[in-house]
Amino acid sequence: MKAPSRTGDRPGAAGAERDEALVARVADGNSIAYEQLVLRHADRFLALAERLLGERTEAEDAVQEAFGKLWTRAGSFDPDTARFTTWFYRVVANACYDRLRRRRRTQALPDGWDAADERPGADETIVGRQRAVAVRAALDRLPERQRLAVLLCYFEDVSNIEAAETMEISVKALESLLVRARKALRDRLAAGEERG
Amino acid sequence: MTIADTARLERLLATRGADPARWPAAEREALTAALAAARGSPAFERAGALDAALDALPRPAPAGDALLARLMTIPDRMARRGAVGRLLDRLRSAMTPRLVAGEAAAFSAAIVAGLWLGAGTTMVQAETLDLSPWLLGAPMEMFDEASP
Repeated sequence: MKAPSRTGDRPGAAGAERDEALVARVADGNSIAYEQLVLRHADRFLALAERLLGERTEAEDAVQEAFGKLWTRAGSFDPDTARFTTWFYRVVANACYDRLRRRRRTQALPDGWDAADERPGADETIVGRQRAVAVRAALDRLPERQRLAVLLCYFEDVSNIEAAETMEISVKALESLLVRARKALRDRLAAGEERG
Repeated sequence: MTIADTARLERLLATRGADPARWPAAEREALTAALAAARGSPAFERAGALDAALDALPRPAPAGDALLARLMTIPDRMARRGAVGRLLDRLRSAMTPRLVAGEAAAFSAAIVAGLWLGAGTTMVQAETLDLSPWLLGAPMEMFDEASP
């Protein structure tokens, strides 16, 4: 099969159709509009899924499930109540949550799974990699909602208002999640540095 | 710098980090003076250190061609699954945990009600059942084997 070309117009580009208008056409069964949304947004939703799940293959499966829902249930999106990205972040996050719950049921984490890589190495690349492993482990240990709040606001650069809408909570509740999440991350990373 | 500005700045450092580029534009402009005063403070340093740690995480790679191809062919694949598949999808998506719990509760209630009604009924043994009052009052034709 020929590889798809990344020709999806950015939503802000001149003449580009807005996401919400494309979703309305998807609800009518228009596959061209669907392909536009895939090309525009696959990368950002895949990035969120990979950061939530910490694993590429599962992240790709979650994104595939989410886009399947876009095709079959685009009619349930209401452009008067939310932006497309707000709604679809929620769809992707829910697909990831399902996988995280299944994972918790089927496998216990081994002892020391979150310890930083202790192998010796003076190279800065290795130090950087160890640090990334420690940050990843600290993120993975956050409660689901705190983790999603950090991922949306820090990595996806989503506004507090949009992140709160995605998570179906108030802005105040979102800010409270962010404060607790950042404090927990700081504490865990500091504890890891003391151990190391 | 007002007390309100200090409080807003501390809130931003605690929620969005130390990089003003990550703050809402309106806050960024309003708190320029407060930010200049806060640089080097413990709260600013703490937020900046966490930002640096988070930035150490590698950025996920973009969707590869194989994934894009899979995503693009979802409409075709779903169309091939046909009407039965779509109906199953709809049913599956309609089966929310709350709905399933409701169905289970209704089923349990029906079983309990059946047992309760059954327990309240007097059990009659066939050997001790006396039908003579009804048989004596019945018309004789009922016992005639030749009658239709």
